[in-house]
Formats: sequence, C-alpha cells, structure tokens
Amino acid sequence: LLSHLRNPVPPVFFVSYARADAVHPPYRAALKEFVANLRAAVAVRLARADDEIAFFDESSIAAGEVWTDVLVDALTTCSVGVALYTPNYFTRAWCGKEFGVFRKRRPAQPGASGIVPVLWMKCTTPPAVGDLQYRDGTFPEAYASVGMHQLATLQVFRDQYNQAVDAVAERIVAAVNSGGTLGGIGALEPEMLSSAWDESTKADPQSHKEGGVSKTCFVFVSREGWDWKPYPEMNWRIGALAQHISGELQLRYEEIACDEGLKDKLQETNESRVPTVLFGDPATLERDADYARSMREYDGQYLLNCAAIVPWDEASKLAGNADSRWIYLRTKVFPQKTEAPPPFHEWRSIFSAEELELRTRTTIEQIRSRLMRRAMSGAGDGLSAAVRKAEDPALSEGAAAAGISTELLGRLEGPRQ
Amino acid sequence: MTAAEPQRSGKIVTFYSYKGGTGRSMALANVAWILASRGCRVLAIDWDLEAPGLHRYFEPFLQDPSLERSTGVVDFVRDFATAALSVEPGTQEKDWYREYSNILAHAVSVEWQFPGAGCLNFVPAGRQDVAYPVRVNSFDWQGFYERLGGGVMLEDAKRGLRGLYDFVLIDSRTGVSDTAGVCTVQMPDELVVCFTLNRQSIYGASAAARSVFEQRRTRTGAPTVKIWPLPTRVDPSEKDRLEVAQTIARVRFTGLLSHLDPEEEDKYWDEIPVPYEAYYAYEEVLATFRERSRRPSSMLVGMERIAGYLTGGPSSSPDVIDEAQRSKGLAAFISRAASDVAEELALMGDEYESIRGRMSSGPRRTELMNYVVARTQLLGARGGGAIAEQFFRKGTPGGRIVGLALARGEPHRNQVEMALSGISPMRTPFEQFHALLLAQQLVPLLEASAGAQVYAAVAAEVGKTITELDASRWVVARDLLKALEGTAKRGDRSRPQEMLARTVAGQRVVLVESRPPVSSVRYDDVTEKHGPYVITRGVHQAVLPQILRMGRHLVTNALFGEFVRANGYENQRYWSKRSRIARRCRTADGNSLGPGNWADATTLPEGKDDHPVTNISFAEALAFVCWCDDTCPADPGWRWSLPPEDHWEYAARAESALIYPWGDAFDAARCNSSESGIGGTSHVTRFESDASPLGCCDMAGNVWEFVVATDAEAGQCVLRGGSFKNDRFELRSYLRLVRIQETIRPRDFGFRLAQVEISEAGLGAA
Repeated sequence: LLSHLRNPVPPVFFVSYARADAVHPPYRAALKEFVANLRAAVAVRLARADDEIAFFDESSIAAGEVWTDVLVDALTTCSVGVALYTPNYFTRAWCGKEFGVFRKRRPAQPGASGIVPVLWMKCTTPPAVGDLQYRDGTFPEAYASVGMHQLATLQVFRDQYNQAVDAVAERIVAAVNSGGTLGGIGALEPEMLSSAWDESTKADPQSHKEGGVSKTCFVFVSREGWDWKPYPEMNWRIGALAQHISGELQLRYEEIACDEGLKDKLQETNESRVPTVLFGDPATLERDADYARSMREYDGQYLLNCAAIVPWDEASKLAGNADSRWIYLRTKVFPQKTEAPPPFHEWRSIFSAEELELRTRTTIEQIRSRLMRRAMSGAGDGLSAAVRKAEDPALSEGAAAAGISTELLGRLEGPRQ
Repeated sequence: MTAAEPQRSGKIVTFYSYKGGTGRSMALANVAWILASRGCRVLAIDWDLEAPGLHRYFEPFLQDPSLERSTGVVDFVRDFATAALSVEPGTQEKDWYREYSNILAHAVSVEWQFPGAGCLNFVPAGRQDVAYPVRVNSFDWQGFYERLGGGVMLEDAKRGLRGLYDFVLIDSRTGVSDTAGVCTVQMPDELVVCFTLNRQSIYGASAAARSVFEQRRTRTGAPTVKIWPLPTRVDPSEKDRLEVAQTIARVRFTGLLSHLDPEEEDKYWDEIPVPYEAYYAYEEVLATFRERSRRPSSMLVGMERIAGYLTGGPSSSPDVIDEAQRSKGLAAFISRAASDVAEELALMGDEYESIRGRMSSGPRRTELMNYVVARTQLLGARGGGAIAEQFFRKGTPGGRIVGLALARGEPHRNQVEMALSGISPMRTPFEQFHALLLAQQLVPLLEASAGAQVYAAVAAEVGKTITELDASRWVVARDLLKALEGTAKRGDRSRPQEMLARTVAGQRVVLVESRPPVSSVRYDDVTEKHGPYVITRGVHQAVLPQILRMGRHLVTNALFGEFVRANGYENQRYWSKRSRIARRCRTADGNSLGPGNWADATTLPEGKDDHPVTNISFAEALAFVCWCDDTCPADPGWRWSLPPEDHWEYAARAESALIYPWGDAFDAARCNSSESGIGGTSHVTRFESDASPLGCCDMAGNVWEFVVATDAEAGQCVLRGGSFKNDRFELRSYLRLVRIQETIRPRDFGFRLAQVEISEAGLGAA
C-alpha cells in the first residue's frame, strides 16, 4: 500500500534481521522494543527527530519476499547498517542480500565498514563477517555470552541491557559523526542481488572445510538444484528447507555444488568434521548420467559425516519394491549402500514432505552427535581437527579447595548392596 | 516481609532424589516461587535431562509453554562442546570458553509480578523436538570433563550465576547417573535430598548424600556442602510405622547435618516432613495458588519451612499473597489443565471409534460405547461444555459423540443445533440416541421456532429410523414429541412495533421504536472465543431505555453518499479530534475522500446503492452521525447516534436471548453468512422477513456493525453481528468483535443508525 511513498529523510540506520526471528510473538515484541530503545538512544545523541532515525520493516515473510520500494530506498540511503546476528540470520538469503548491499556501499573512510553488528541471539558467525566485531570494551560482559535478546528479556540484566543499547547507539553515532557512514550506490535491482553469504563461500574454495560441527553442508543432487521442490504441496524448495532446518538447529548453512569436485569435497568435509547431507532427486538420478555418476561415486565412499536422503512420492510407496525407479537406483546408482546400508541413509523411508523435514532434522542431529562424541572421547579417528580445552588454574584451584575436581566427572555412590 | 537485600553472592541448591516419585520437582518449584515472592532473585534449572518435568509447574507463566523454541541445559553444554570442537587453527584465545559459560543464554522469564526485586527465571532441559532424545543421549559427559575442561567451564558458570541471583535451584536427575553426579557433586552449595519413608528410598538417598558429603571437603576436612534431608509424601495416619521410618531416616543421615547444632537438628527433623496430599499427586499446581487456608500441616506451609531453612531462618512475617493475584494464578493453571483435558477428550473420541470398528454391533458394544460417553462426561464435567461444539464440528464419529456427551453435561448452553444434526437420518443409531437425549434435556430452554424444528426433526424419523424395535430411542422420541407439543403452543412472542420514517438528506430512514417492558435484561452468556477478537461478554446486564429507537436497516452507500457529497470529510466539526484521520480516508483512487471501495468520491460501487456502506472506519461512522444531527436533527429531546451496544443487543436478542434474530437454530437461507454463498454485501432489505424480534434486519450477517461500547479502550471500537465472511458460529448474537482500531476500514464493516434520548448523553459520546 505504501510502496509509492518514499522515506522523506534517509534513515540514520537500517535494521537488517531475519523475519523468522520475529514470527513468535514474544520474540517479535522483544525485537520491536529493542529497535525502539535504540532509536531513542540514537535520536538523543544526534539531536534528531525520532522518526528520522531508524528503518525497521515489520512486514512478515508470510506476505512473500517482496522488496518494496520503501525498503530498497532505505537500504540504499541509510547511513549505517545494523545487522542482528542470529542463527537464522546467517542462513537466509534475504539477510545475505541486505548485508551484501551494506558491503557494496563500503564507506570512503578507510577502515570504516558502516555496519554495526548486534549479537541478537547467540550464534557462531561465518567468515563473511569475520572482520567485524560485535562488541568492544564498552559492552557489558554478559552481552557476548548471552546475546542482546536475553539481556532484553531477563529482568536480572536490566542494567546490562541499557548499557548494551547505549554501546550500540554510540557505535552508530560514532560512524555518523566521524564520516564512517555507508557510501553511495547506483540503482538497485533487488532480484539481481546476491547474498553475501553465498558470495563468501563462492570466493573461498576451502570454505566447506571451515566451521566443523557448528554448521551443516548440503548437496542438492537434482537438476533443479536449490530450487528443486520434492513435494508439490511443500512450502519450501529444498534449499529453503535446508536453510530453515539449519537455522532451527542453530547451525550455519553452506551449499556444496554437485559437480565433478564433489567427491573430494565430501572427503574433506569428513576430515574437518562438518556434517553434510546429500538430497537425491529420484527423477534426476534416473535420467541424468552426470548426477547419477556423482551419486555412484559417493556410494563408493565411506564417510562418517555424511547422510543421504532420497524423498519419494506416495505413488512410489504404493508400488513398493516393484517401483521401477527404485529398482534402477538401487541397482545402478547406489548398489553398495543399499546392500548393506550404513546408518543415516534414508534411501527408501521418506514418502511425504512432513517425514522429509522430521527425518532431516533428526539425521543432522545424529550425525553431529556422532562427530562430537568421537571427538570428545578422543577416539583415534586420525582426524586433524583441533580441540581446545577450557583451562583456568585459579578456578580449578578454588574448586579443589572445596573438594571439587574440575578434571573428572563427579561420581555418586549408591547404597551398598 | 524480610525482602532479603540482594546478596549478590547467591547460593546454588540442588534438589536430588535417589528414586523417582518423591515430589522433588514439586518441592523445587514451590520453594522457588516462595523465595521469589519474598523478594529474592531466583533461577530454576531443569537438569533432569532424561525426564524433564519442572516446566509443568511454570507452564502457565511461560511465553513458550510447550518449549518448542526455548533451548536449555542440553544446548548449553553442547554449544560449549561445539565451540571447543570447531576451533579454527591459530585462534587460541585463553578465555575463549567464557563466551559459552553463561547458562542464561538459555533462560526464560517466568511472567509474574513478584514483590520488590523478586524474580524467577527458568532454564528448561532443552528444546522439546524430535531430535531432543538424540541430543541428550549422545552427550559424552566424561569427554566433556576430561577432554574439553567442562568442569572449569561449569565453575565459571557458577561464579556468574552467584553474582546475579540470590538462589539458583537445580532439579537433578535421580540415581547415580552422570548428570546426577554433575548436579550433586560439582554444582551445589547446599543439597536438598528428597525421599519417601521406605527403606529403599532412605538408603539410596542417604548413601548418595553421604557420598557427596565425603567428596566435598576442604583439605583440612571441613565439609563444603550443606545437606538438607527432606522426607516427602508423609502419611500421618499410620503413626507407629511412621515413627519407626522417621527413626530409620534420622539414623541413616547421622553426621550429615553438621551445620546444625543438636538442638536445631532435633527441631529440624521434627518439623520438616512434607505431608502427603492426594491432590498434588494428580495435578502439577503450585501450592501458593492452590491453598487458601494456612493449616500448619499443609503442603504450602511445609514448603515455606524448607524455604526458611535455605534462607537461614523463617520468614519474619507470614507470606501473604494478594487474593486477586492468587486467583489469577490458579486460573492460569486451570486453563492449562483444560488444554490437557481437551487432548484426553480427543482420545476418548478415538476410543469410541476403535470400539465401533473392532466389534460388531450388539448390546455388548452399545454398553462399551455408553461407557465411553459416561467417562467423557466425567472428564468434561468442569467446563467441557465450552468445547462441545469444537468436537462436534470435527465431523468424525468420535468427535460427534464426544460433542454430544459434553453438550448434555451443560444444557444451559442450549446447543440445539447439535441435537438437530444428530437426529437426522444420516447418523448412526447410537449417535441418534444421544442426540435425542440432548434434545430432551433442552426442552425447557427451547424458544418456539427451535422447539418446532426439533419437533419436526423427531416426527420425521419416528416410524422410519426410530421404531419400536429399538425401545430406547422409541421411548425418548415419544416423550420428546409429547413435551414439545406444549412448547409449540406457547406461541411466538413477537410484539407490535412502531415504525418511524424519517428523512435524512432526502433519503428515507426507518427507525423501529420499542418500549422494553423492563429496564434491564440479564444475559447469562457462556464464555466462548473465536480467535482473540471474537468473544462474548459473559454474564452481563444490558441496560435499556424507556423508549428504544434503532435503525431497521443498515446505512446504505446511497445515504452515505449524501454525506460525502456534502463534504462531510472536509468539515472539521464532524471529526472533532479526529480530523487527521479524515484526511487519510481515501477512496480507491488514492486522492479523493470517501469509502475505500468507491472508485472515487462520486462513484458508488456499481449496483450497490442499496447495499450497506463498507470500507469505512469507526471514525467515519461517528462523523456521519454528527452530520445527520446537523442536516436533519432528530425529534426534540433526541439525537442521532450509533447504536449503544446494550440497545443493539436487545434489538437483536430481546428478553429471550435469541442466538439468531429468528431463533436459536441456524438457517443459511435467513441471513447473509459465509454459508449463504453470497460472498459480499447484500441489499439491506433482502432479509426483511428474517428480522429480529424488534424488526431490525441484518442483525446477523451482511456486515459487522459499529456500536458504542462502554468498555472500549481509547482508539479502539467494538462491532456486533458478524458479516458475510463469518460462519454460523461467528454470527451469533452474543458475540462481539473487540479491540478493533477505530481507523481500519475492512470490506465487511458497516453500521446502522439509532437515536438516543438526550438525557442519555454520554452513552453516545465515545
């Protein structure tokens, strides 16, 4: 309705956030509250009217991902980009695009980014934002360990919350006052934008090795790739489903292309303990030799970190083992792993969109758990990934003085038999 | 009140039991609540990962009661482990784990206003989704300690929590499992050990307590953990045995209460046992809300005593909870219980279907099915009637039977439509029988037209689906017919109304004039909700004027057009403080002022001159009324108004509290509802023959109507009557649409005019 209106004055800051984090009403309320507080804190410091301060698009994703003129206008004219980091933020293409625009509008001032990141909910950050710090000495200590959302919602953190809002406001104001604001940009075609997250993984051929158990890699073994829709009634395309699940499990997301490099990359993700899921499209595998070859190669590998998931339709379920496509796949495409299926291979167990989502979720947690367990127990799997240990001699000493061992799990004794 | 000054060096207290079923979580939850009510900052942690249950006690006060989103303890330790395992080479920061040692990243707030600085936060076990068991069962606690330094991280976590809370209460796993070891050996400053008074429970509890006590000593041998044994579920009726069991418990805990002197210890054992109260064995309710009286032997007083020991002394004044607060809290628990009951009722329906499907018909099957009905009524005895319809509407055989059974439990809800539907020949004999029973119960409540409908429905079946071969249905049907003959003779209560014709700007407006025989009517409306906005007023009194004047029809586009043509939108006098709103009331062209569905200010929707005006807001309706008063003043002593809500309600329902303007049973042919298939507004005279008892048309359906409500908040308004978008359930005369912004302009909002006597000024002043 308002799309023909322009923002009369460019906003000081633009709030970039994942719509998925504002669906649950209490989360939405906390988010709005934070933006209002931040807006007020910046307005006071800049002595500007309240309504010229912030752009915060409250429309939901339910309305379809539409880049309204107002939004694009604000995105291209704001002085500072405020990015709310959450697990969902780094999985969503929309957020990656907004962030990408901030990056393209790099400030003229050397060293300035024009971006003020906020750790809204605790998450691990991808390399794409590695150069930006979301905190400094002016933030309360709890901010980095619990995230702004928790500061905002737990009463015990009232002081820390106010301090953290002020610190974010100060950063925005500092950028404005020192000329470190975002630069200009030409006309923007939202559909043509690329996500900063994709850009970053594309730019780094080694990116799939990074992150360990804090993320999941996905391979879409389908001619339609990310856009493949395994079930017509499903809301998600396969890529969107993968991103959604990653966000829900608070893991980062990365796509690995299904090409001739796949075999080596899978091997490498295994060595770096990155959980990896391959989605196979039966129709593609039956008809397309290239994709079938990738899958056949995978069939010959034995990798602890991988799961393969093949969704089937209802008709195929009714046909049972007589389904010709299934016969083809199990004899020609992945004969070994159907003969003696290793765990986490859903070759022939998923027949609905609902099962697909549930099994994918559980499978990822199972793989992660297995990888974590092996690493934590120090099992000699010959993998190179480093492990770090929490150490603090003073703390351990203090605990020992009270009879607590920080090195060993405390054991209870039951009654003697 | 002791309102403990925030100590900023809080205590960590673990609640442990060797066996399950000791009421450990209940004790923790109650103590947490009592401490917060005394002004303490309290954090409760559900560390019983394998069988989390603490949240049940806080559920009514959580924003995510089913824990679908909230993370917890499992995520806390896994996040730390993830960070330890996904390290990038070359990034070695000494204090890296500090970012992961704050369990409050997973805490939620228990929404309750505690006095002073008091607050209660809660860390659940973890997000309850399909993968939860995987996350819990796979976690390697030994590796967590030995390879990742988890013990150091937890010490850091303890330090942080002590600085923020007065009390951190941890609900531990039972037995001697890994997580029980973490909770009892490493975490606590004090350990509450719950047990019931049988040997196995006592031996286990005392052995575990002793094992902690022995481990937790300073180098010089001084104990660093306080042990509080807590006998629970104590049944005082068997006095002799009780004494023996208590003696056994005391002796098994010998030496572990060294923090008390002998005299204190004796007193402690004497007063601490928590009595068994059957009620708490069945329902997870906090004692604070459940108990009104403060018997010394009650659960609540017992819990306060434990809290007293943990704070280092009893509260100087008794904890008193404000009665309004208490009943609010109890209501929250009851509504939680209601959602549990709804789940169980659905299972009843499944059971009914299963019996039907697995047995062939015969007296034994009927008996079992009747038994399901009886149990359904027992389960739904408190408030089940409110959801009867919801079940019936599911349309499944089980849902319909459950619905009928519940409706019969609360006949005052007058769910005659269910009875009518169940009597129809399409139903099974069993359902028909229960529908007849429901109808029988409703006979005294039926108004004439509904009575006639039931009569016709039963008469149509007698001799066809209802025959002497099945005596049970035959007898009920015959009795019903006999009883309803009487009802039908009561005759209809329509009374002569006066119709006044008035002219506003050249357009005819018909007002119905009625003299209510009473000055107020009490409507005992049921509580019913259709989403957050369509609700009832509950039991309430409608205050009536001596003479009531209500528009017979809705205001049409044509009439509203006169207001637009007279520049009503531009005339500030009609808008008082709302002139800012006036400027934003645009027609479809975005430039001129008028209803939102008009192409422009001079173009009415085609063919809809005599349809109700829509796409207008409450503010516009008010301005229109002012304009009426200006151009065509009402009779002396009267003025134009939007209908006061009480007047509207009386005009729609009369004294007999009709559910629809024509009676209690729905009829799709008699109004413009979603069932009619019209899909838009209709001519305002189309349903003249289906007018309300006072002669007003479209009181159900067509468009929602703005009324003047006495309880609307500033900037909001109330509407009545339902629209073409609503179904039979939403256009009932007792429902109202509330909390609507006075500026929004949907395509199914309209209004009718009324007149009020000037002495009643204030009512219409909105």
